Amino acid sequence: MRRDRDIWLLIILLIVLIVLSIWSISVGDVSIPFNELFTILKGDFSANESWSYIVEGRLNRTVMALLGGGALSVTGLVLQVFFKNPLAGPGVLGISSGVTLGVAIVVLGGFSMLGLGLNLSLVSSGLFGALVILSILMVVSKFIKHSVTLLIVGLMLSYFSSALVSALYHWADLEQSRQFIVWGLGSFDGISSENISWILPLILFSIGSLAFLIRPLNAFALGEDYAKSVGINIKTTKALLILISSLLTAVITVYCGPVAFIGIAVPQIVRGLTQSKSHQLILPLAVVFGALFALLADLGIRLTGNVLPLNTVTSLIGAPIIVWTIIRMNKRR
Amino acid sequence: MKLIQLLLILFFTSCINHSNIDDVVVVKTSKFKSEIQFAQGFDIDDSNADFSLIKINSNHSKYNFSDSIYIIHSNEFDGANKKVLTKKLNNLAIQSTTYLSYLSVLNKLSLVRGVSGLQYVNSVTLNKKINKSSVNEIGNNGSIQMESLLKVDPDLFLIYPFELDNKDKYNSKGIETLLISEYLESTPLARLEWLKLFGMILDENELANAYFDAVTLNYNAQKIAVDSTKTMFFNLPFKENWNMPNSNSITANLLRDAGFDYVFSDTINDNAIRSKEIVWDKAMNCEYWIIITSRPANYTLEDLKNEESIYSEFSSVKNNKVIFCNTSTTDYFTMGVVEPDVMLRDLVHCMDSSYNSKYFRLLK
Repeated sequence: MRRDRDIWLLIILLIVLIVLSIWSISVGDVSIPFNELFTILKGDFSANESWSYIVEGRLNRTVMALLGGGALSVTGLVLQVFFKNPLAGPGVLGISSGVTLGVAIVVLGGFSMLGLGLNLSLVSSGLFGALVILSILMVVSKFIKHSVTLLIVGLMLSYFSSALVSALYHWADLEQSRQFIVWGLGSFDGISSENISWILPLILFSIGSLAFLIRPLNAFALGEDYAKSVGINIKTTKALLILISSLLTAVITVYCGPVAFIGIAVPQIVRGLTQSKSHQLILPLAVVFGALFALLADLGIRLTGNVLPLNTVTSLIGAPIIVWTIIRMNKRR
Repeated sequence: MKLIQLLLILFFTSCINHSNIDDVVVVKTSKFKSEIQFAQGFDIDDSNADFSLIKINSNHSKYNFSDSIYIIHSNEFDGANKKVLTKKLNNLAIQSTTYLSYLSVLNKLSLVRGVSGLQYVNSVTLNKKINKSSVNEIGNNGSIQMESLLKVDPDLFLIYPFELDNKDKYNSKGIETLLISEYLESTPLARLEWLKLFGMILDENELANAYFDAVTLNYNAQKIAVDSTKTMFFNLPFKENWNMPNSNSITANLLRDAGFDYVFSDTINDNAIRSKEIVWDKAMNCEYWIIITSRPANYTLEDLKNEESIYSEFSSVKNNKVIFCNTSTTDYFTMGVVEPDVMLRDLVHCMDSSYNSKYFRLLK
């Protein structure tokens, strides 16, 4: 009965997501007739040449919001299970800061962010930054008892990375600093179709591969000892979870900036909405709700004249949810 | 006991008088009178034989500020409770590197001891003239470092209006300030005319007026009427937004004087932030594209096309009519202010392949 309810919830969220995605492609500062929109999406020539680029821009932005939201939310979910802490997330644990530091080394070191193509140096430096932070957290987690302490360590790593980034500003020129600051505000806009063509399969593959880790995730939720007792290969599972989390965070952060709160807030909302404890349902719900959250945030920005940075909107929604989570955690005790 | 001694020392040092206000001397000797033709942000009152009064005002609906300074011609002048130049200026601190161009015209760069943003002076002309070993950096990421400023101890500190809140702080430390708001003018010649203010405070009136008159004459001789077929739009976006200059701004008026028809001329008040969608839709068929921005030295039309695929479809790009000013390799923000005639000439002639431009070039 509970399972049916959650499946219906997933279907409803999916329908809302599809409707909002269509709306996101059709709404903008330039009014494009629906038949023209359909013609462009079919791949035919439009009466107005600029419209095809405008629709392409809206489509890419929508796709990037869906991918970004889904990826960050599922990463948050995995980290919360992995570190057994409902407040874990790529931002809180310092993983996003690790990616930021990796990007800063490349960008403030002289590489231009303009016309960002398939740039392996940026993605790999971001991924390296994420892996370094996650590895440190894993080592530290062996020596500490309380999960809250791990969050503090994550915050300290985040501050440390930010301090290194601030130091890098002194060697960067004005234009690169400006580009980096704007990147740090976060945005789903400006990602080219070429980039989407490789980001899309990579993110879908990474999220899809988590489907094969649902059983280990369910076991991990009950503790590492339990996972061992049911025959889960702890080492391999941990390595896979870290690699997938780092990859998802790195790719989204490199192209959209360090987007705040989606990774930590969405899993909380999902756990509040569903009664299921199985990640067979929680995982797809987190992906869909994360995508919905990000798309709504982006639509909010677009409908208010693109004035607000993405991180402002996600923080305005996400921060109260985290406060609510902390209160709920303390009540339990 | 030691603590009391320490407190007493601190108390007495805080009462130290840091400046001598009795050293009022006659500063200006030149009898040359300046007349303001275009500038709206300042005026010079030369009607009194004992002094000249420079009055600075905001001249902008968005801002509200004013400042003034007396230049004394005779010892009869009573300078009590007035801001006067108490001595001939020998030591200047400036908040904007733009002011260096005015000082360069008047051959007074040697007076500059403190500059905010010294590292960003990329002008070859200015860098040659400035003795950087004797000039101090007084800013850090845009904010003034009080200790560095006190080390310079300038006779006058030329500041932006947005530094107004800190004016009292500087004055309390014995540093006299003067607001310079040349960037709020609406035409290149009005901005250039602030040279007369610099001429006034540096006793170089005649030189300032002669330079201004020569440039004005040259500028007006090159001005051409707006051609409605020469439609144009400005610059490049920053993420989602495209900042279009106000149609009554210095840049828009410079382009208008070069005969271009600005398609976003409805941006009357402030710089209007437009979404990329709106600009793409309107700019697609624009004849010219004027870009004033910072890019690598050998930036090409191909580089521009690579920034966004739609740019290849713009008429201006297809017809090779993109006019570019690279602010990181030209003196646009510094010497450009005092050479509007050269900038205008570039805009009028840069389509000619044999023309050797200084600020604006055809992007190839």
